[in-house]
Amino acid sequence: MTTTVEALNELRTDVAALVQQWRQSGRYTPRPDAWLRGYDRDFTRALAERGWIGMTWPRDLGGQERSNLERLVVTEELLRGGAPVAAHWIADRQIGPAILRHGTRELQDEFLPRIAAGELTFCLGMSETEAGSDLAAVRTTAFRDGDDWIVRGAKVWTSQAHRSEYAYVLARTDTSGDKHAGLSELIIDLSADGVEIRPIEDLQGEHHFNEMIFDDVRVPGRWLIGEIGNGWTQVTEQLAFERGGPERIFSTWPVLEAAIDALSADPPDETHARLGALIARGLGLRRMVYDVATALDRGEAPITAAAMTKQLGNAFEVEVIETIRELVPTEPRPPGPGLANQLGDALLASPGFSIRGGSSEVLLSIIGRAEART
Amino acid sequence: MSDDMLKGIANNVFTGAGDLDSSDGRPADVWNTAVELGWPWVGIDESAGGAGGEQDHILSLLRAVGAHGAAIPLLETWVGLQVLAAAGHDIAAAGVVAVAGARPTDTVVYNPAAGTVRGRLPGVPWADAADQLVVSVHGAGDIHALLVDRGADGIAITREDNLAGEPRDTVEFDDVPVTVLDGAPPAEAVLDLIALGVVAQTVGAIETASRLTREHVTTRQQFGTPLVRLPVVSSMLAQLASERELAATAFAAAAGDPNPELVAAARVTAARSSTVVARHAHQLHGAIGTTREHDLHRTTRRLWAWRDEWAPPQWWARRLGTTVLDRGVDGLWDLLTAPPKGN
Repeated sequence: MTTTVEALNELRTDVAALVQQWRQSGRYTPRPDAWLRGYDRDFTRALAERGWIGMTWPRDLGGQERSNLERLVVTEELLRGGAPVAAHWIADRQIGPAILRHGTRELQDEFLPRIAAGELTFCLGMSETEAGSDLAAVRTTAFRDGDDWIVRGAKVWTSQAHRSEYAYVLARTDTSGDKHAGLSELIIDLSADGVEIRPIEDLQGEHHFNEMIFDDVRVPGRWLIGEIGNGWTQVTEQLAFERGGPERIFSTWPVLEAAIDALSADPPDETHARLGALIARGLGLRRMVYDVATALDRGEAPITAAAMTKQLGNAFEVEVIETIRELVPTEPRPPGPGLANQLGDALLASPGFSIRGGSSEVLLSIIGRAEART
Repeated sequence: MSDDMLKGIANNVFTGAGDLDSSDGRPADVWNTAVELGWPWVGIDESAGGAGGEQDHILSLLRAVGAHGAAIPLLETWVGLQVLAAAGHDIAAAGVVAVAGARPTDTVVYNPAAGTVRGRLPGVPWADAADQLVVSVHGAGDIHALLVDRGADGIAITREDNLAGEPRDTVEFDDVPVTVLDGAPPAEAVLDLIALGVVAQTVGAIETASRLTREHVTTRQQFGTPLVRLPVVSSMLAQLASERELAATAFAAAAGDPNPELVAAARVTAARSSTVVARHAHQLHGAIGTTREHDLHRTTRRLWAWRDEWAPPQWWARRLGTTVLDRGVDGLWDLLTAPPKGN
């Protein structure tokens, strides 16, 4: 799939214009890490109306059949604006593609058009208290009851579960064998009987994390994604693809933007070299993100490249914060508008960067194994 | 000719060439082969006396020079020939050409009345071995470069080496007669061209250091198992590999679109990656890597030398940062998200 540079530029301008319009009319305030924390259903619907959610999916499933490169342009401009995109980000990036790859046509028809229309928020039920980086250790079970599944267990670190209609859940459908076998992916309706959602406050004192408790929740059989027992393969594939996106380098962009504005007038002497060193790194990393998107468009599975990009990118996001901290004459303050507050917001969010979506330890292990095989 | 073919040829040439080191400031013997194969003329227009082909081709050859640690003046001669060709000189039999004066700290003074040059330039690659020196000058109006014959009166050259044993001589001009190279590119453009070549060589050296390290940790046994089975070793190998890919990516971006920003970014990135790669490669090799007997030093000594040559990374970072502050935050975003050119 090829897209002309002109078409990409036009798309970029269109997305930037919408973001600017919302920002300047005060309908949202830019903040770092907004793809996880900034939640606004109206903004999500505004994007959906323009066809910018699920845009790579088939048209008859609500998509636009556009390229991953076009999707990159859209997601980049949303990150640039620190826009409130958490209501659809996970479904657009991860759940939709998983249903598209492995789901039945019936399942695709049931969910994908509504995701693309911005009507549904999905959250990710992967981690558990005893299964963090070791995802295969999940203990949540799903057992057959007629055509249905009965799910019992608990998930944790589930961002936006309290605002979501559905959860994607990794559960054990067979407890007899190896821990990587017997796992399956299911969709759970969070309004169903037996679902309890408890808030977890993060470092900001903010509520986006939750614990989800499933007490014999009944799930229709058709909501199992892909093959029974193939969950491990499906979930690692899904994680591999979602890793290499621009949110792994641009989570702290709004702070950098505010800092450059503040520094431009009278930059201290060391500013130019420090900023230049930072941007040099950012340019290389952004090209890696671009290369991942074009590899996906060629139908490749750039698993190692995506892991490298995320690992280096997360370190870069923190380097942005620390470089600014050393250059601007301000102390970080609790989250809010303004450079000092954005700096504090980003700093408090930063430990999560290299934990979510595959911790740096796990990514280095994946890269190390790939290297040893070469 | 495809890039892979060229890489294959270069690898064959260097692998079969015997000693690749410089001796007393002279190129390794394989330089003669490189000249016979026409490498210094690759990527220069045929109409100007070059061999034609893409700039990517010479960059692939320079990557191979770095990968093999071959002490030959290919980068310097190639850049020198470009400058000579731009000034309309015949470059068919130019010999070894040294380039000097392009660094921001370099100061030589051209005297237009006498047609001579004065000044002292330290760290000039291959100056003693050169047949001709192409000397960039700053602040001389339309005159950007001078041609100096190695045998001219008033030149004094002191032989010195860099950390990798490559000649980096000090040149003193005491009112030496010169030929003005009308039409030559400005010093900064020459510096960018050299920097791109240094990055190509650096990426080649990084790739070799990475390969040697991978081979070592997957074959060397300690505690009854290959080293790479130790999680800390595997993690360091992964960090090294990530830096290698980042450097190669930054190089590809600059090679495809050699504008001042991407060249500076690639130069800064290659230097930082060199630091991590050299450190991790040595740590993972253990004691054997610290010897002259083992091949690792052929690349790591070069990485340590090259990262600071032709203006240190701080200078390049400062240049890039100055552009970023001048253009403001929207200009920075345009720079970051500009559609890649080439490759």
